Amino acid sequence: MNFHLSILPVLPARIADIRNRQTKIVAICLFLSSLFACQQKQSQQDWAGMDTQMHATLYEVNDSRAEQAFALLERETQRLEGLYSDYDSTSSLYKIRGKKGDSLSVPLEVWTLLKMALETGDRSGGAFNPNLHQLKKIWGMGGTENPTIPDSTLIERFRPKGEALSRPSSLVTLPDSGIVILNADSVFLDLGAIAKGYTVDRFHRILDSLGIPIHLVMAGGEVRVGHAKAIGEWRIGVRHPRGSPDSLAAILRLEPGEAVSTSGDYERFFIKDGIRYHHIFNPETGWPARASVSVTVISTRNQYTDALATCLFVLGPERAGILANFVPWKALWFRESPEGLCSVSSPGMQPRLSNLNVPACRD
Amino acid sequence: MSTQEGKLFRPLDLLIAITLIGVTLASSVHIPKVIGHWAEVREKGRLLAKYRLDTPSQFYSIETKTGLFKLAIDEKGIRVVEAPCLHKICVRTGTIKLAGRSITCAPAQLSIRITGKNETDNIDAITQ
Repeated sequence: MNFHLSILPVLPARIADIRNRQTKIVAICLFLSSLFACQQKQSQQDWAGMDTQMHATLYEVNDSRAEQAFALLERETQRLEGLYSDYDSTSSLYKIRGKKGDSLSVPLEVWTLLKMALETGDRSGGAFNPNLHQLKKIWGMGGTENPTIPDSTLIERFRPKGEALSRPSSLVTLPDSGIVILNADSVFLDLGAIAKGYTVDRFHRILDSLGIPIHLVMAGGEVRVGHAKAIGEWRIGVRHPRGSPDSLAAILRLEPGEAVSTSGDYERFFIKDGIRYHHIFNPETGWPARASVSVTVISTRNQYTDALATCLFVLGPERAGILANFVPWKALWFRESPEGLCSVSSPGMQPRLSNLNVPACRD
Repeated sequence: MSTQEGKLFRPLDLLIAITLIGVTLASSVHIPKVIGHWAEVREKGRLLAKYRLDTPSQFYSIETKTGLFKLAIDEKGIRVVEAPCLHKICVRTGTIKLAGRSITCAPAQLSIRITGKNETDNIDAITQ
């Protein structure tokens, strides 16, 4: 009894002491936990679509939410393929064919992207042309044919000419939302150089709407990063265009939410008599464009970077100036020179670049 | 008494700390972080096979709906040796070894991706 009475006055101090020590222990354990949390949880998924590989990495989500998100992204891929495939006769884009004067009703999503593609074509002076389906087909670069050098008369027949070359929007009239009027019999649209970018933008929006802000989504060379990152900054490697697939030519820093695309002559090509024939055509000649080996572009959306990468590939750094007032672009070119592979970067790209291991072009 | 109160840890505290650190370590093991380099082979996103890259040189055959793929693993990494696709882009891609790199055969909807923590260049992805 006396013992209990004697300990009573010191009890609050004892409890405070124990709490103080427990706080220290918990604090130390939280610090250790945070070290382990640096290896943050991530879920990855690959799937195929639009004749390329799709990929998503989701951070800090549990497995069931990740599975749900991946399923949604795959369904979105299928939905967009159904809109934008230029080889599937049931797709919305494929159905924009017919005779001059035909008025066609198309889904608003297709109409909007077509409008953007045509505007990009006009502003690039025809370097970007969404009417190259037939040309791509005779070269066997569409995925279903054997790659070959076609007869020059065929190239001459299918390359765009006149106003269809310099102002691709002249091919069709877009009077109202969802309506396309054909201005020629020979309209065979191919939005391959913009639809993959748009698809990645859609993935990004879907993940944002699902409350998964830390993510990275890809379709072939298109990459879009989330609006957040748990640790550090987003660092994207640029594949070395003439090295092994493991080797990088540079590393880019992306701001949260940004997009990056690369167009290169090493993705789809064949070599005949020592000459490389690839899938990015110069609309003016009907032959593979020779001004670049690869181009990487950073912007706010992949639908811009995708189209711009194709434009800038065809134009090369010398003629890219015609696009300067179009959007503030950040671009990195690799090209062949007498001294070998060399690089050119726009002023906007330079602060984003590190580990560039290709020498600058002299001219 | 005063000496013991001045110590940061007492034996019981140490026991609690060790227990908590043990729980922390155990929970971190449950997080499926990727350690070591593996090659995952998927068809339409479905995992067909998973190979360790630090195994002795070997050839593997993978049957897909499009046809037979032959893969080779050696000290340089993994590559596609034979593919049923028309353009053989996946064969021409060459060998990959570093985490995050991938080989794609779009017509067969087949992908090979190296998983694991990228210690070499610390990048999140590759644009190519």
